[in-house]
Amino acid sequence: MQAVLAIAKATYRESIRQRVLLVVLLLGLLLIGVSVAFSYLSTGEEFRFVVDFGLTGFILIGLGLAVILGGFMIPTEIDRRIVFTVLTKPVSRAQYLWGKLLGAALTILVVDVLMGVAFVAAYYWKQPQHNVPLALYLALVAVFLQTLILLATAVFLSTISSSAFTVIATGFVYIVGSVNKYVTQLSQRGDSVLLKTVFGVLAKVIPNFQNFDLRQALLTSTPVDLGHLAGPVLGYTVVYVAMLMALAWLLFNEREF
Amino acid sequence: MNSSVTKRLAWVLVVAAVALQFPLQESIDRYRNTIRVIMYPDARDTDIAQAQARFTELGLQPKVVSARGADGRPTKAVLAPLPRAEWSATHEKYIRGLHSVPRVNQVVAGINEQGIPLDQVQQLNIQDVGIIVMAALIGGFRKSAANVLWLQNEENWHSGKGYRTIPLARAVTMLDPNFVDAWVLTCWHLAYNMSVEAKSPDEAASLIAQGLKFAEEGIPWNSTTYEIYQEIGWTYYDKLQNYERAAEYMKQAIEHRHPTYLERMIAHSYERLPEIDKALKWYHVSQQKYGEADQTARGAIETITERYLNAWQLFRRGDYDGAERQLESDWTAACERCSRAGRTLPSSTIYLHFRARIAEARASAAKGGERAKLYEQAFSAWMAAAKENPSDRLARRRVLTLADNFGWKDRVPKGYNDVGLPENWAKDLAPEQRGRSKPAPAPAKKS
Repeated sequence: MQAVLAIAKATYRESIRQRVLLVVLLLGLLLIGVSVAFSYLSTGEEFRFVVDFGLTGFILIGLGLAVILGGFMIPTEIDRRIVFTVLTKPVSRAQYLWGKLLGAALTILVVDVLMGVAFVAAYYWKQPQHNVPLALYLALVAVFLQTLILLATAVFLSTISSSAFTVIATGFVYIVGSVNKYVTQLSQRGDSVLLKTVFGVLAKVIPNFQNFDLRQALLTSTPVDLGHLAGPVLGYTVVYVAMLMALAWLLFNEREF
Repeated sequence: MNSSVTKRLAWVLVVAAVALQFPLQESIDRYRNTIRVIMYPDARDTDIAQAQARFTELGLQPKVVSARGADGRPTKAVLAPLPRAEWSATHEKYIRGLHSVPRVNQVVAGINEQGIPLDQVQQLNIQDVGIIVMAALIGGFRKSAANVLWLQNEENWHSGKGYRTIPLARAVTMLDPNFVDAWVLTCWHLAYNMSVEAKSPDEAASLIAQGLKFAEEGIPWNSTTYEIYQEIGWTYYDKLQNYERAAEYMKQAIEHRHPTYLERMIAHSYERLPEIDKALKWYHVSQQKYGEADQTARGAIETITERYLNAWQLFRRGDYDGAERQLESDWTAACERCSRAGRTLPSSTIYLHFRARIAEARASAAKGGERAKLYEQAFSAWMAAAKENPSDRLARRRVLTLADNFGWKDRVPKGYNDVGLPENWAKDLAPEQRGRSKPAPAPAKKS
């Protein structure tokens, strides 16, 4: 465990020094600011605009971070041969992977917290009763959980392929997972058996990111239970992250440098 | 640990994770497809039992749990998970009427973002909006894309490209189906603005019907608010003067939080038909609900009672001659009272409608040759009502229907319609639009 934490700490330190992270954070804050500025385009629905635009910005920034951190950290270390130095120490490949994942997750958490403060402030300002419901915090936590799955996906893909492929494939997973219900519809309605099978498999295998989308609940003032997020949604995240990391380890373990 | 054992353990973990994913997904779906009725903190057990009974009647298995209301106070909630077969459907039938249960604070139709059927995507004009729609569905900036399209829609409308309203509005509502104004304003554009520019009554009727159909599509997404029901109800009331349908929709609107005039709108609808007993009932409902503040209802109860109630009771008993005599006498007395008091005479619409209804009821009860003669009287009565008030579309519709049924089309003026077009609607059209051949161009003058 100590080895995992040490690698996580090193990964976190390395990540927050990257300028690209600062750019992403500024972009996220800009998106939230833009959501407030543009909300005047949506007369009578300013608050709904801020929620939709702000949370979507959160999701996309999460995707960007997952792709940048997950897709580049391992291939870069392999290219620069840093991985040899680490793995010659008494550190297993599983510990290395988990350490990398935890470090990147911590970096994303810090960015999300900073953006979250700005988003909650924007929400409080625009919400007619100046009331911040529990559902808002749960929505932000749900976005973070979704980002964790994307990060694990990027880490898994980066163990077997180049960074470029990882970026494209993680983006594909995000798109298919975000429109899971349409992929499911295609698997039920398509004309070709082959296409139906392909869409059916995609709908089942790729994580369903609509499980994490609480925008509709926020927009319609629907209360969301903490138990729902802490139970099945967190469980779903743990299951997917564990599965992706196990697969990543199986492939990374076979890899010869 | 042995490497092969670790590998096996990793594979077991992968298989277990795949297997676990399905029940977890099922649990999330069940949560997202549960209807929640949140009661006020002071709700009685009988109120909660009533909410439960509504669900039980529909075959659901509700349960009562502790919850917090929108204001954060502890209260009770009734949860009703939907069966799997209903997960992809709209939840409207399950939530309709729940607001009429006493002490219900909030009805939540599940947080499942109901899937937009793919056939709706196919209806879009792909060149115009399809790409934006698909990008927004995937990218997630749905509300923002909907706003941009809505602004474009407004611009199109004000620059005379009203025909592009429908595909754009459809794209907007697809991106943001909870954008109530998009459903309501598109219905209004079609039924009120585009229909008056129609080239024929048939086209105008079709545009009004399209507007109503469009708004109807928005109900499942916004069935917990009154606005769309009210818009449809108002279009039936004002534009089509189909007062029965208007009352139906207004009744659905008042099941949700609504402005105070809606109960009166139901009463006005019945009054104009007329259905005097129903009108009185709804004026009383409005007065009881809003008390002395509702002066309109108080005044309406007085005038209806003195002008029409006696005649209405005779009419309901089938005494049509008595009803007609009573109506004439009460109406004359009411007009005289107004003259004596120096007030303007009351609008004769309801009186004329009532006369025509008596004539129609008498005709429908008659047999043989007498029947046609009596229907002719009903036709004249409706015609008189329409002549008295040219915007009386109920009277015009009855005139057209009777003329159609009895072959009296020659008695109906040319261009007569019940959709609000002027009778000379064909006058301003170009010859080819009236179905005539285009005149040959004039020969060029010699220089």
